Amino acid sequence: MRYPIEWVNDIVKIPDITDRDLSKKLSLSGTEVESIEYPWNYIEGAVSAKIEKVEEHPDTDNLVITKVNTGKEKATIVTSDKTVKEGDYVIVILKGGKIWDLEIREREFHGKTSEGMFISLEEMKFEEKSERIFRFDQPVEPGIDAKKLLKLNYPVIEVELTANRGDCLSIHGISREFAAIFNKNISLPTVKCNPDGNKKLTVKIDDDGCVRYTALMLDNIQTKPSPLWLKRRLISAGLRPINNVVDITNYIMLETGHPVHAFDVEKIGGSKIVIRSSKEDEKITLLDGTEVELKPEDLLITNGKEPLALAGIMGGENSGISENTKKVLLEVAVFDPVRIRKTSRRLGITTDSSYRFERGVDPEDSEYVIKRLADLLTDFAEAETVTEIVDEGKLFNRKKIHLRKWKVDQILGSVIPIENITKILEKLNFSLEENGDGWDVTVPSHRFDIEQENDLAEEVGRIYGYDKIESKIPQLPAKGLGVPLELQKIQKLKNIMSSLGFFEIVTYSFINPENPEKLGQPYKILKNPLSLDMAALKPSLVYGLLDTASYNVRRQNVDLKLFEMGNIFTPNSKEKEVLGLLETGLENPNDYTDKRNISFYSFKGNIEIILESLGYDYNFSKSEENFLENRASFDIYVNGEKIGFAGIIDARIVEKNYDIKNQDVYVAELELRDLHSERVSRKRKFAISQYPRVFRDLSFIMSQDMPYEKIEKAIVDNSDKILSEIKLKDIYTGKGIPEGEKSITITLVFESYEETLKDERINAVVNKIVEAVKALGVKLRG
Amino acid sequence: MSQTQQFSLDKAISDIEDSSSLNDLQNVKSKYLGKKGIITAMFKQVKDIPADEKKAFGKKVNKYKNEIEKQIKVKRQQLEEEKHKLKELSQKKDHTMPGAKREIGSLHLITQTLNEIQDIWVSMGFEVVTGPEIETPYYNFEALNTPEWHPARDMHDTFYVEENKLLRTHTSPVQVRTMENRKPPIAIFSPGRCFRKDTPDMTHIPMFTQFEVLYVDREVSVAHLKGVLENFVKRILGEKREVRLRPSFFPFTEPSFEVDVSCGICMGKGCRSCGGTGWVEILGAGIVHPNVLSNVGYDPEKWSGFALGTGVERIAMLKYNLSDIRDLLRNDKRFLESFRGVVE
Repeated sequence: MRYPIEWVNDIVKIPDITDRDLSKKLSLSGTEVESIEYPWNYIEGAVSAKIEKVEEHPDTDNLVITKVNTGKEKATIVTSDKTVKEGDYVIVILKGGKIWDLEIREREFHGKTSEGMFISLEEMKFEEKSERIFRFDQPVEPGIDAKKLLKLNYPVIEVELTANRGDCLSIHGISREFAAIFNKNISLPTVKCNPDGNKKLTVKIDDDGCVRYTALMLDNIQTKPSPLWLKRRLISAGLRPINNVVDITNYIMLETGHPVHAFDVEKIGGSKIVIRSSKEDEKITLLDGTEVELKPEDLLITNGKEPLALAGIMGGENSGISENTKKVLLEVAVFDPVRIRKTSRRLGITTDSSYRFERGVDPEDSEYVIKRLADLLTDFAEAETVTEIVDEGKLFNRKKIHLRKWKVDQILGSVIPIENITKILEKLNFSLEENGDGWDVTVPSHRFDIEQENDLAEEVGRIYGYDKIESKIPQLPAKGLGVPLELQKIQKLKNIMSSLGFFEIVTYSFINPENPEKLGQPYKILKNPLSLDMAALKPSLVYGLLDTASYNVRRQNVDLKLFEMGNIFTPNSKEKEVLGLLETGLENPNDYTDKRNISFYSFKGNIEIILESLGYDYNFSKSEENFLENRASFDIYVNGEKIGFAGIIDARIVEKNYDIKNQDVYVAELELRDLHSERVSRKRKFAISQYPRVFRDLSFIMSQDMPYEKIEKAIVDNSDKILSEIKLKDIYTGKGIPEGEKSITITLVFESYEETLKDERINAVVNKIVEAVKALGVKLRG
Repeated sequence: MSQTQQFSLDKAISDIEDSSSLNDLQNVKSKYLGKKGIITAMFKQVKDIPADEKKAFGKKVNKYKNEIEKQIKVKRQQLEEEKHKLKELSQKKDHTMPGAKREIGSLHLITQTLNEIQDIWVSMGFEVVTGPEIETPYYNFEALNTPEWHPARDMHDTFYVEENKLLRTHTSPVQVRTMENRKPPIAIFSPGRCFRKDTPDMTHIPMFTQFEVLYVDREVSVAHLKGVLENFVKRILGEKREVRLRPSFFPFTEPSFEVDVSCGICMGKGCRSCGGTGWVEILGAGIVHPNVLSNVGYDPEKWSGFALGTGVERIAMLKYNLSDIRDLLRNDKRFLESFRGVVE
């Protein structure tokens, strides 16, 4: 909300401090200042002046030449407003001054020099369109700063209020804050009206959603523009002046925080108001012309039959006041915040009124507000009251809280002097009665947010100043639990990934549903997405990886090793923690001695490193994923369950949807399971043999489609415990090897924990292995 | 005598001299001093030499042998020297050429920053606890004193997955779940992804990484909160940074604060980047609301606590002077590469 300081000053005198200090004081007491601005700072150098002489312009009928007294000097001003007269008091901007971007200098008009310009209400934003220049209605001393004379030189503070402080949504409210911050007293405008009249007015509350309803009828209203001071305050607060009646209702809302409403008595057909809940299928057309369908939870103001207004939110089109309205029914009501909020949310309508009702309005000052409203309408719209005030509703019980002195000290962690506590709370309108170890505190009716001791301790703390509280270091119940095992493992895995050359990425959990659609993956759609682009929860990390690869390739970052760790989401809203990786381009882009592209086998090697470092007992089989190319893909199994997939992603998808051409894109994803359990790698060695190892190389020639797995199995099945490791040393095709065949060289590693191995022992095992491999139709080479 | 006459020391020396490689020299050595070498043969003749000449002959052959060995040694040194020089020349490397580098990757800046933050809180004695990203409205809101129709829900525009399942808007549900399962005192640090329905701009993204800290014990106060915050801020952003508590509102804490740090650019004097105030907002904090404690079965008369939390992205932006939060999720390789060092 925007608070014009000049308005606040009517109620509480703000000390003369810099804007920056004022802003700091407010912010540090809990009212966050967004900005401090001067709405009329676009006018510079405007002063009051008296017209001393008016002459016709010799060369044109459209202009007159005036001589004006501007205090110390006289000036000649040429103007197009021919209604100016000798003795008028006006505002002039002399040369050197400024309005908007226009710098005022001497200017010739048909041969006559003008030394400045007069300004109008339009130029001061008080009117849409001015025909004449501005004139003071009383004599003023010439040469005085015009903004000072019209009080246009005060700052406006814009504040961001927290959701609990609905009570501050008014000049009264912020004044209470200033009073507490600066230890000043408050004086609210007094009301003088004592309404009476012989007209009858009835109000009936038929729904609990209306807590209090106060009404009054006025007649003989004269609609016209508002006085200048009223316009000034509305403009400063960010509202556009319309006419005196509308402006006064807005003014009262800003001043008191009470949204008020005025019905045209002629239009509502009588003097009866019934507040009830809506009937099923009832409708109302609102002031802004929109028709809304209502539900029983909605609260209506009716004349006993038709709805006149959607309570607390907006008036109806057919009941509102117009320029011709003579007789009005004024409403000052208090509604249940939750009811207003429900309707406002459902219909998507938020108004200045609903915003305040949702946050709560003071249930105790309705009578003051309606009298203040009547006073202004009487003074500035010539209205007369024709009924008494009708006030229906429940009595409000103020909350009482027992506040223990030691509890305040304990919450704040500092001993707060008793007189500070009492003074602060009293300035904030709490009343205190000493009782035992503290006080019985009565909460003012506008403070809906105060319910417990903690709330009161906060009130004390924020005004007392948290900077006065000395910090302490708590003695934590250190159990040394620190980082749990699974997070340690994730961290280690991330470190392994980055040492393998992978860059970690972080991508949105939301994706365009088209993407999983294209890969044939099921997914979950959000109920209320931000946009179509972000409507699905990602069922795989592949999408973020591919988007990132696409983004980078388009920027010529073509050699990529990326990984991401995070949750993916199943169509039935389950989350799974997975690791995803993507490789494309050169194996070692910064190594000019290595021209290799990423190969299927180096990619697979990385996956094996990951699985081994996680201690998984894994195996692979042909992939079932349709978006991977058959020629180079596999699924990953742990303990017989599929945990992921890996391979080259279908080149057609990558080219069409991700704009990556002529390079294989390898992706893999695997679920991170059992991270919380202590797992020991099956390959870990706890003792190292004291005897030397023996290496034997065997080369075989076989058909290209002979799976390596079979050879390995034959070796394992026919080995002895002294065979400690089987390593693939080389794969070769080409010269010396028949077409359609390949040569592979395997290193067998023999190791004993008991003795130095003798050739005879090893040869026996090797021979058995060779025979078994040969039985597969494989030839021993060389 | 005939053997002796066939041998010429000059010839032997010129043979040595003529050797152009260590290999040649080895052959020359064998020719004279090998098993079947000329000198070796001469030694074998000694037994056939008449007794009176024997001594002189032996002495002469010995002299030849020593001379040849000496010459070979000199020649070998010379050849070795030449060979080394040749290698230096032919295999010369250019140390001004760039090294052929293997590429190392990097952890994302969010991970790096979170690790740093986590280390600080763990070293203060907090335990790391995590929880699910899909939550129920109860754990995300109601248990945290935010009933369905509270205006404070406006601060957390929420994504719904199903009627009663949402994407958590903060990691506070982890606090509730932990308190439900444990007796106080507790001191936990909970990091994780959170989601709010914010359109991406310079300072907002709909998915961010939050961390929250919760400490519940006897007589935990605002003074303690200030103490740990000062510790944290000075360690993550530097000793010179100051902390201030600005009263604010969250439904789950009372009193509540926005916590500011002195601006790292103007050091509190006021500049454009801090909007002239000299302070930058870094996190939200407060004393745990008694209703939250009651909701998990803790007696608020016996126990009290503080909680605090913020986005890891915000800390990263302050620490590394980033201006656009979206850069963190673009994952441009050039951006990722610039954060792979060990020095910051």
